[in-house]
Order: sequence, then structure tokens, then C-alpha cells
Amino acid sequence: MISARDVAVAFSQGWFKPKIRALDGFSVSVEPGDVFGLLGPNGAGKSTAMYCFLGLIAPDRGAVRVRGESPDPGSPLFRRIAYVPEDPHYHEYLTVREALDYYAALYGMRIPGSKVGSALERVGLAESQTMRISHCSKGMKQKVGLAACLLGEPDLVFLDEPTRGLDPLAVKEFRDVIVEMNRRGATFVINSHVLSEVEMVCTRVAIMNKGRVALQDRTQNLLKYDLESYTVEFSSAGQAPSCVGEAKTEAGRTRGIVPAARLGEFLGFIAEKRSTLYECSLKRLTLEDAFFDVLHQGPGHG
Amino acid sequence: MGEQLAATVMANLRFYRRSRLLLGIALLFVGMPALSMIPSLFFLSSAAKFEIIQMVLRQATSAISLLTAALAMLAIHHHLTSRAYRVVVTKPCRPETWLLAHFLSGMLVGTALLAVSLLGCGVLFVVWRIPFQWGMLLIGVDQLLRLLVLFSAVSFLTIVLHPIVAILSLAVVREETFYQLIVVISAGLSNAEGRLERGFYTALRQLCSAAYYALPSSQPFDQKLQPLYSTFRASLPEAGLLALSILYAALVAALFYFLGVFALKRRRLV
Repeated sequence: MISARDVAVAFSQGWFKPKIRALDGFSVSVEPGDVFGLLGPNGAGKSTAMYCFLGLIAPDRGAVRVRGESPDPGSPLFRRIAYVPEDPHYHEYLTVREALDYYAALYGMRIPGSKVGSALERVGLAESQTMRISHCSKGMKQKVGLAACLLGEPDLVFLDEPTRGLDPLAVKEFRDVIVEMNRRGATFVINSHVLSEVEMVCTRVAIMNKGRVALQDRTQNLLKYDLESYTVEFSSAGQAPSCVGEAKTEAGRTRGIVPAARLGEFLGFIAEKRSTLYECSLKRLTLEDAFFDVLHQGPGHG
Repeated sequence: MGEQLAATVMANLRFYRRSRLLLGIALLFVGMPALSMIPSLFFLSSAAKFEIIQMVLRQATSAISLLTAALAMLAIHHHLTSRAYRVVVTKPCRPETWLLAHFLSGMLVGTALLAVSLLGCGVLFVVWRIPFQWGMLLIGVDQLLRLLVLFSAVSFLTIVLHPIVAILSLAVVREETFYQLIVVISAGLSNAEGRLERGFYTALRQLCSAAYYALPSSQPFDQKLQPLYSTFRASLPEAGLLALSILYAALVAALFYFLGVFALKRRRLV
């Protein structure tokens, strides 16, 4: 569906200043039906990568292909593509309804008013359709983008920090829409800082650092169990035994990590002290663990 | 493409109507000269009526020119800096279509304003019982062509330059500037004594002449059309010149349009 091979993009800072390398040897591939998450710290090149996919930036080196074609701005390729930008820079002088009608016309679609109405209803903007976009809050502007997505039937959707500025209800609604559209076959590329959110919706992720992909894998492979350690929680009156690492005690309960090799020693301690054991389970790795692992160990790791 | 074009023209017209900055500029360029002319309309001799109509048309057309240039500049600058243009080209709407819609909407407003000012002058002819001069319609066509050249030049310059730099370029780098330079350099050349000095002035004059001929003009037959503006009388030679002007304006507008499209495609939309 999407592929980028050895892409490099540099931005000029001025005539006598060195260029900033936003992407350097960036390679990634997104398969049809993926909900693909692009993760990385600020300045990792996530947005630049997305701009390359959308044809907004021509790479200095390398090749970007979307459905086997080079993405040129405004090309017919965009008939089945939707994009929700990070900064909701829609036509601020239009009302919500006018903007949606305009965007529908740009797709060359004759969309019945009822469909526009139901899209507005779905994102919770039905009562604000006569409001000018310049008067809308950032969250409302984000919803305009989402409503525009719902109007067409895109099979490839780019979301750049989609839930930034949205309230928790809207975030959930957004997530539901992604899942629903993905079930119907749409592929998503999501650029986000909210790791928990990515963990919930993305089927594959790429962690970027310094302009290149440091790790790309299926999300479920990253959310595996660590067989080398256990998460434990037990009642404690005194000091935790030495086999419990990262121990934190609060209200008479201690929580920490026990290496698998020292589990017997830990259980002996519990029996001896007649403590109550609340939890003893294999430690589950989160996306956050993978993210920090990659960042600490540098690009190329994984 | 037709639907995209129509929708973008409609969006642009809404932008013109709702932009407070444009409203301010319109009031300044159209309102102020109009207000300043009101007293002269009440204190005039019958002999001066024709001159008053000429003045009204002159003031109106120069105000419309400035306003149309402002439309071109603000619309391009707003859509590029607010990144609304990015929303357009991430849909199946090519930069060519977007820029064409920009040209169409700007010229639509310019034509409407010109028509209103010509109609106003026509009403004055009737009210003051002066025989109507059909040359006014030729003036309307001439002004429309000048608007087209100005609008396309300003649009292109705003795509590639900051608006302030675009205004400065438009004010300084123009054929009149180089014409004046040629006159000054020629005077210097006739007074030059040394061989080196003469060579320097000659080279400089050649350079300025090249720039003078290369730069597009808002009306290449400006001098020859002066009788039309002073008498409002239509004649065959002037109509012929206008026919040539249509070709010239279309070529210049097409040149700026394609240069604009090229610049838009080269632009990094971050």
C-alpha cells in the first residue's frame, strides 16, 4: 500500500547555516488493512514522513510510493485518500457546513445533504454547522477533519496527531471510527505521541528516531510478556527483600519486579513472613517499554 | 474538474466577502476617492461635466486595479500561510485547478466592479444629457486587460515572494523604471568623454533596454490609446489595437499562470 525506501529530506535554515536532516535513510512499508502507528520523540521526523506520503514534500533522496505511484499533490490518487492534519488548518472563513460541502466537491462527489448531516451528527458538530471555522475550538476543528473523512469512503487515511485537543469522549468516538473504518478495509497511518492510544488501535508500529525507523513490528509482538521477570504485589510490614527490584511501598503494600530466577526465594520470604500475596504475574511489556528501549539504545536497534 | 473549479471559485468569493482586511482595503481604495469626488459633482459648470465623467472613470479604474491586486495578494498569501491550500491538494484537486479558480474568482470580481463603474458613468451621461460615447466600452475592455495582467503578475509574485517583497518588486522592477534609467544613462553617455566610460554606459543601456523589453507591460499600446481616453470616441484603429492587446494580455496571463503552477508544485508544503 505504502512504501518508502531510503528517503532523505533536509530543511534549509538559511544560506550560511547547516541543513536540518529531518529524514535520513527512512524506510518503511505499510500493508493494506494495517492501522500503522508512527511513533517517535519530537523532531524524529514523523510529520515529515507523513508529508512525504502525501506528496507535500518531495524527498531529496529515495523513493516514496503510495499504491505503487509517486504521490503528486492533487493527483487522482487522492480520490480514496483522507488526511486529518495535526494543526487543523481548514478554510477558516467558511462555516463548518460550507467547508464540508467544499471538501466533498473537491473529491468530485455529489454528496446528499443528509450524508453531510449524518457525518456532522456522528462527530457531534450538528449544532455548530453554521459556525465559522475560525470561531471553532481546536477540538471542533479536528472534528471537521474527521467528518470530512466520513463523507468520502477512503481506503487510506492519514492521521497526524488526531486526538490532540479532543476531550475524552471525542477521543473514544475517534477511536471507534478508526476501528469501524478499518473493519471495512481502510488502512490507517497514524502519527501520535499518545502511546496508550497507539497501543489500543494500531496493528503495526514503527518507532522513529533521528529521521529513520529504529524499530518496525506488529504491535502484539511488542506487547509480549517478559519471561525473565514477574510483577509482584504483597503486604509488607518492613523492608522489601533484596530479590524485589523497583520496589514501591504504599499503604502497607509493596509492588515490584522479581527476576524469574529468584522467584523461589521471594515465595519463601512471603511464606516466612506470612505476608499476603496480591499479585504475582509475568511482567507485561508495554509499547512505552519498547519505545524507551529503542530511544535509549539508539537507532538501528531492533 | 468543473465541479472543483466552481467550488473553489465559490470558496474564494466567500473569502473576499468575509475578509475584514479586504473590506478595509476596499473602503480605502474605492470609498475615499469616491467621497473626495462628491463635492465636485455639485459645483460644476456644464462644460466641465464631461471632464468629471472622465475623472470618475479614471479614479474608479485605478481604485479597482489596486483592489484587484489586493485580492490576488491576500487570497494567495492567506491560503498558503494558513495552510488551507494543503487541505486542497491532499484531495484530488491539482494546483492547476486551484490557481485557475483563483484567477477566475479574482477576475470575476474585477469585471463586476468595472461593469459597475462603467454603468455609473453611463448613468452620468444620461442624467447630464451628454451624448453617450461608445468608446467607453473599449475603455472597459482595455481596463479589463490591464486588470488581468496586473492580477496574474501579483498572484505569481505572491506565490514566490513575501507579499511585502512582492509589492516592492512590482513598484520598482517595472518597465517605466527601466525607461527612466535608459533616459538617464543616455544623457550620461552623451556627456561621457573617456572610452572606458562610454563603454560602461553603453553596456548599462543595453542591459536596461533588455530589461525594458523583457518586462511585461500592463498595456503595450498605452500611448496610442490616449486619444480614446481623452475623447471616449471609438475608432477602428483603436479597436484593432485592443484586439492585439487581448492577445498580449492572454499570453502574459498564461505565462504567469504556468510560472505560478510551477512554483506551487516546487513549493514544500510544510
